[in-house]
Amino acid sequence: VRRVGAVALGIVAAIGGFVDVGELVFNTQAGARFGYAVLWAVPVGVLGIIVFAEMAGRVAAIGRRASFDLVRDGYGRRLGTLTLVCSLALNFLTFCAELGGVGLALQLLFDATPQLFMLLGLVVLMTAAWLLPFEGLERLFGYGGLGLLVYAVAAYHLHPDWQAAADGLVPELQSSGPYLYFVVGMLAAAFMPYEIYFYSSGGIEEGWSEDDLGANRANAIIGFALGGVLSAALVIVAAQVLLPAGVTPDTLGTTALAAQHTFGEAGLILALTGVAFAVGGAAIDTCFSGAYNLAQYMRWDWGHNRGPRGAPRWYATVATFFVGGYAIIATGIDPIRVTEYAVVLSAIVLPLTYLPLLRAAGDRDLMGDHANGPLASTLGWLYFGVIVVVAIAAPVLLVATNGGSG
Amino acid sequence: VRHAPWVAALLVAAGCGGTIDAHDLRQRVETLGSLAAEGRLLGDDVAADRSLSTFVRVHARELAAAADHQAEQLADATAPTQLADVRSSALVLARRIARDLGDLQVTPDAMTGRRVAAALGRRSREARRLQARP
Repeated sequence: VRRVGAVALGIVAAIGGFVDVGELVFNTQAGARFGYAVLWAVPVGVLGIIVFAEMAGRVAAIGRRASFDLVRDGYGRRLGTLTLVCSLALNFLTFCAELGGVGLALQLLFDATPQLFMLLGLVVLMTAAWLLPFEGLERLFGYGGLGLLVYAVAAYHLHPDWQAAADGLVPELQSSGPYLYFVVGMLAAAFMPYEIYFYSSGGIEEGWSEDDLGANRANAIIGFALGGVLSAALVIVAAQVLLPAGVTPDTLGTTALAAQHTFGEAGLILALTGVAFAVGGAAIDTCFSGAYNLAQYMRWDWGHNRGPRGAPRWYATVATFFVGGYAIIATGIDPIRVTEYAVVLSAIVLPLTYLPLLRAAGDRDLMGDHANGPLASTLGWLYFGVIVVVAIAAPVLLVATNGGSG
Repeated sequence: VRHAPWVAALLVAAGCGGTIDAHDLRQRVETLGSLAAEGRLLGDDVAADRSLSTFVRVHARELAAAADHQAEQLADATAPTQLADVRSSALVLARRIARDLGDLQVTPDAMTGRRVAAALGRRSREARRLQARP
């Protein structure tokens, strides 16, 4: 029963953690501009993140090594420090965006200044991070994020052209710059490194061992696939509601409008509640990931379950993220724009994060019989190539297409 | 006077004035069309009593601010002779879209929703026509 519970927990955590504020708007924009033609990027990205998440969980369970342990040991001092600095900056920027996203979602529901709701969100997140155990955090934000399933139901309810949607699942490379920008952006969003940092460190926090390898595989496959279903649903709903109307979305409000236009007030409330919890969960993921990375690299005691006395510097880093993130986002900077700037940093962080993981998962000295087999190894190196291409292409396309506007 | 060229360059870089070209103008009209179309969807939902007034107010305000921003940029820009007409029409369109959305923000009831949805539907078509102009 405990294992079934662990899988269920992973599923809801993935729903909450996979769809962050940038992805909510980005996928809606992609569907509203290109319809089903961008859908194929979702399964391609989801399969990749499943491959790497499964490896990260396996390395945590068998090798007892989290992502930044691997970075520290796998690289020299200069490259390791570069990876740390860039990943901290990326986590911090993403955290700012997620905190801003919580404020925007609550503002759309209750109509007061977003800064007020960002402060409220900050207090709620800090209180939850302080009081709840690790599993409790996953459960709170994961179950709350289930409201986003309204998009999956809406995608079905809107009677899309399933044949056209199926055609959209076949990879197609158009020469249009904005199209490539959105495809590459959707792939980059699937590989955002904080998911792997959080997942591998979370596996160690939860004390995973060889007995948990099945649960790890189920978590990675079912959880991230459900996250992918939500991403695809956003594209389909945008293609059905916004594309025919000629709407090019630019804000979180437009993503919510698509749910409202399908299911009325109930759809709107479910969508915005789901957004607030899912984005709040992503804020916790990014904030904790930053603290995990720094603590693992510096060999400090780390972990939420150790409490402030057991891991004081880890908790201090979390607190710094919270306060610093609020100070930045309260200036009024647009959270959606912040996620675009994060893409530039991810160009450096993506390959540097995934390479040591891939090497460790294939290392027989560390992993014994649980090292990568031929399938995991082939998929891993294939996807590493995809990640390198995405990492180079994303910032180039961001600049060349002026953020996809052409 | 010595710093005037730098100040002018900074103002242009900040989007305050400068010459607008055909591509930029087309993109602005496209944005206006999108804002009008989105406002129409929102108005339809308000007319059918399928929304929360808090959401309508916040989102209509957001869309109106975006239309106002486009109006400001169009008002500050100078257009070459062959585009002057389109720029003026786009400016008028931007102001009307902002006004309609402002009405929805202030009075998010069914009657206003119906009126605004119809008006913004027309503005959306007008934007398409402007986009198609050579």
